[in-house]
Amino acid sequence: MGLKSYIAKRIVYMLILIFLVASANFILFNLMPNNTLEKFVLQSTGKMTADKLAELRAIFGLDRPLHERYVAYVGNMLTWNFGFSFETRNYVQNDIARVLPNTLLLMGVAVTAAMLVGILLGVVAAYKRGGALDTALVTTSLATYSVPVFWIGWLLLSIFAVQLRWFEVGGLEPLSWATNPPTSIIQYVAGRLYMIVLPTVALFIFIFGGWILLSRATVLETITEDYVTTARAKGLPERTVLLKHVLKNASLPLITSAALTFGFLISGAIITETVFSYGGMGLLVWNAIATGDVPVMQAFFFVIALLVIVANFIADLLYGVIDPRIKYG
Amino acid sequence: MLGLIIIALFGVIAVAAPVLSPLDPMEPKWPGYYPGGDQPKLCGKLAVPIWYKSLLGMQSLPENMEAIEDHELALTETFDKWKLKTSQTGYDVTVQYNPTGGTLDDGCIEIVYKRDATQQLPSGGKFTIILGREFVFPYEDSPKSIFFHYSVKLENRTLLAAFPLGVTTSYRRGTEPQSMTVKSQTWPILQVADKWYSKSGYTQGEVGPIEEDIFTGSGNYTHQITLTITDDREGSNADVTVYVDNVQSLLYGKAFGLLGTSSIPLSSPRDLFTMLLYGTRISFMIGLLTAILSVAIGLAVGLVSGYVRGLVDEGLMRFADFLLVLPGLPLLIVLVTVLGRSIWNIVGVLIFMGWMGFSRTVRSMVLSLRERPFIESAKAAGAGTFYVIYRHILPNVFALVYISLATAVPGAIISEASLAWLGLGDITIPSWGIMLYDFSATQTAIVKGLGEYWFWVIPPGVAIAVMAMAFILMGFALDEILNPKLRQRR
Repeated sequence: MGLKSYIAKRIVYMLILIFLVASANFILFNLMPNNTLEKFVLQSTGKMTADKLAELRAIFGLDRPLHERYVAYVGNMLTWNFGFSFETRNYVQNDIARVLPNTLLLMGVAVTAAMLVGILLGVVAAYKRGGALDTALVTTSLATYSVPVFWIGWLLLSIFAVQLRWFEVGGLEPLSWATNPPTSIIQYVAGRLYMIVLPTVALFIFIFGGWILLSRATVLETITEDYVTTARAKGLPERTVLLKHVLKNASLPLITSAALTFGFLISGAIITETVFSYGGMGLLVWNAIATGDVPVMQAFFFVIALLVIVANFIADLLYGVIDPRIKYG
Repeated sequence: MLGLIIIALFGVIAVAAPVLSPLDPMEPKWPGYYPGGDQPKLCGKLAVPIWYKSLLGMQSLPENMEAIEDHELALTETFDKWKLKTSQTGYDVTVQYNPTGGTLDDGCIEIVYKRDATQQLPSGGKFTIILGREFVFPYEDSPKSIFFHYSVKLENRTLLAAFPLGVTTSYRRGTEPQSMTVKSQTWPILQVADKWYSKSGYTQGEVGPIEEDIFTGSGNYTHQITLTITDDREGSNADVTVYVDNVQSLLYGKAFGLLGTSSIPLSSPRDLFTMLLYGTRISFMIGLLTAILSVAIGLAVGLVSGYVRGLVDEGLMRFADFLLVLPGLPLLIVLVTVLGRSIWNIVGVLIFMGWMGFSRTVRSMVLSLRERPFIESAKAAGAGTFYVIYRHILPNVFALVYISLATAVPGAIISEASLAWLGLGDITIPSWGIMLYDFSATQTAIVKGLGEYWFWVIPPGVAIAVMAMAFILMGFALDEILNPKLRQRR
């Protein structure tokens, strides 16, 4: 099987998964014992105008038989039509479009830093395996891995925002923007970056330990291979052996792992955002939980699952492209 | 090894929690009999750990104390400590100990007030009786808050006033002439009835820091209860009996317990040390239950899937793949929201989402095992599918079970804490996650940081981390013992 049909197969698989997620959403919110969606629509009768309510009922097809509702529901999910939020009364898709980039930015910065630092330290730990540095690194990784991320966030917040006042306590934009908004693009970027520092550090601490352990394990796997001994034997400098021979081969499983830890990363980001009131998907769903805002919650789950599925798809593709040994199948 | 020791230690704490701290973790109440209204809370909110006094030299911090011993007046000696004062002389007032008239049919104070029809009315038509009880307050700093309580009963045979009796609780320091009245205690008895009335209240929440005004340092104080009898019918007799029982002041300390107190719920703040101990239990239960059941399911699915192959395998593995793709925390959020927030639902959902990885590992191992000659010979000898799985395959994959058990626990513990933090925890259960959730609900982390109330935040966070790490370490150790290949590499 060639690369093209491999990609085609992956795409079909991805589409099936997306369809299944939409169906799972339908089951969760429509068929569960207490019929959450219907209940919440009924509950919010007093909360919004009659025609908005009617529109909501129409979107989810609450008056129609079950199979029609299912078709309508999955259709709505796939066409990005999530209905109104019970609380803000905005279109949920607009809210999500507004906050999703913030979450992706936070995750992107944190995961890039964590991968760079983690993989590097992992290589060092594997190279000096058994030594004091290795033990220290592994212990640190385990410790950061074992601490809940919101707790890390609190510590950072308490020390750097409340005590030292280096950063603001939370939010997406500096407080001063309320009175004098940024005038130039540089100011805007600087302000946003300033606010993203603490949440990124929290998320970074939460995930970088995992990367150390992962890269240490994969490097250990390759460092004992015969060709590494050969490379050393022919007199290559240690640096070249480590980077060119060991890390290059160890990087393949790391790429797959990147996709697999994506779900973990999202979970961390959701919680980090709520600690720092960083207006992303996490804060959106946190508010939705507090107010029982079902349309937001189902859209949130669908979009996050979609992200994970796409991430897996990309990892599969990369894997297929990078590793010539792989048999597409 | 270290992991095992820590886990064993946590296990002992979990089992012995009620012995180590006899207090109720969720709604602790002050022990004793207080009829009418709610049982008083055990401790004031946000009290600091008690060892602040000795270790940090904060000797002035008050601890919890009862101002009056034996407030039920079970003993005659207690009655003798009460002192009586009346507003006017010349009236027939007798105060005596009634050994059976109390609220529990035990002792109480009996006051008889008599006025002859020919006698002049007391000034203003009111006759005041003050009962005082001295006590020693040994702390320089004022208490956090005060709970006061009394029960009165009126036997009114002659007075017909609408408000025949008023009761006021007040405090007096040493010999100072002025007493500090605790606000809003004057309470007229609306009905003329032969019935006990019990009244209680906290000073907290009133305007101004009343405790600081009353308690200005260590010394002798008097708890006073003032009974105002309305006697304004000229020309008629007055013959009133007032019974008084259960007069008490509970002075809440600013230092309490080994780890201080929380401020949630306000009606009965929790002792954080007790909650931490009980949290060990909950975390153990969540962790082990989730690990055992999800590993059991994973094992069963993996065995069946790997050995039976075919459509069953395909179906199970596709389902596992699907669940693996779904993001963990969001799915947890959704499921718990839909199903409800009880701890059993949380554990159930964690199990449902925890078995897939292990089932894949088991399956791949079974796939290689089933082709081995010894399985072949077992089959040739006529062994059935179930027998082969049970006797030949299971023992060979069982080493994996211990490792996954150890590594599944921390995930479950951290997930529970995260869910609780997001407001999806079971708030009826004293878990570490709920401790942290309570703290986040106060918004203190954002306003003041963790410094002042570290004893609320740091212990549960460290406990979660240490327990999770102990299980991970144990998993590592098991991995090394059971996987000879790893040992070689070191």
